[in-house]
Amino acid sequence: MAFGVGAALLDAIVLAVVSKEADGTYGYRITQDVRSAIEVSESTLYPVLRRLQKNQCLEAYDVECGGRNRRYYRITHNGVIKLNDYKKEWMDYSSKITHLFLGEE
Amino acid sequence: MSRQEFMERLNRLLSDIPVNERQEALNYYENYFEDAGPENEAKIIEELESPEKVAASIKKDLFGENYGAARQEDKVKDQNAKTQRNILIALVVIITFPIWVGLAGGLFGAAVGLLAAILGIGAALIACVAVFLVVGCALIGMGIAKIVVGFAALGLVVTGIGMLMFTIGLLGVIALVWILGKVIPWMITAGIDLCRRLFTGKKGVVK
Repeated sequence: MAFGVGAALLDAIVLAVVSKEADGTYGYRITQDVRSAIEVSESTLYPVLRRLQKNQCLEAYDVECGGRNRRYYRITHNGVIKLNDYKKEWMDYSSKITHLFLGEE
Repeated sequence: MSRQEFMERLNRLLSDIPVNERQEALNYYENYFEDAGPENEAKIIEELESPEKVAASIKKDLFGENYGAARQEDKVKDQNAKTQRNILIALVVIITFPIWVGLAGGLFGAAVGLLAAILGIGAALIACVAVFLVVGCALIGMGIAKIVVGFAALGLVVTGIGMLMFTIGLLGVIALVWILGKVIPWMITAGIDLCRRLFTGKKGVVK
């Protein structure tokens, strides 16, 4: 992809992916889902998840699965607010650029 | 590289971050491999590129962009400061060479002189005591001989002087034994302690 993905956009995408799963989701699946939309290297997502967790946008919990603990992530109330802010900004930003590209008034 | 090797190297590379952060990260990647399944192991290792890159992405998030560079700079600064200090110490030692060689020589000479004087005085005292004992014995012998021969008065005087000298000699022996037993050991420990203080600058204990 020609366009770079900044930290804020990456945070927003991860929040959106996690918020879709009401029961939470885990690292490998988040990576697959994010990669279905944008190109990111696999090592990029762990720091993003860790950061969102520290900012209390995501919470982590362990679920036993096949004899081991699998770490799940789900969005917090705080995270939902943050995601809505991101969505609004994205709509504003992307519609302006779309208008510009299509030459509409 | 196998999954195990990858994780071991990642563990080593993260040894300088807080334990809980390291545990979180290792746990995440262990989970990641598990969830992907053994069939995707090689693909994941290839896409993650290297443990170095994974470790760098974690540290960058924890400590900021210039983490690695800043630490390197600190190390170099540290080393430079150390080298400068060592050069300074060496210079001071070289410049003051005549002073401390003279000082050390003087002290050594004084110590040897003192020791010789003590030994000399000791030898003289022992000789004196020996003379008193021997002469005392001789005089007692002579006095008794005079009494036996018939010069009773002179014999008694000579015997008396001999006994007096012998007694003084005995007192001298007692004094010498006391000096040898008590004073000399104390002087030796005090001397050792003084040397220790001079050479190490530490305070020793005199018994």
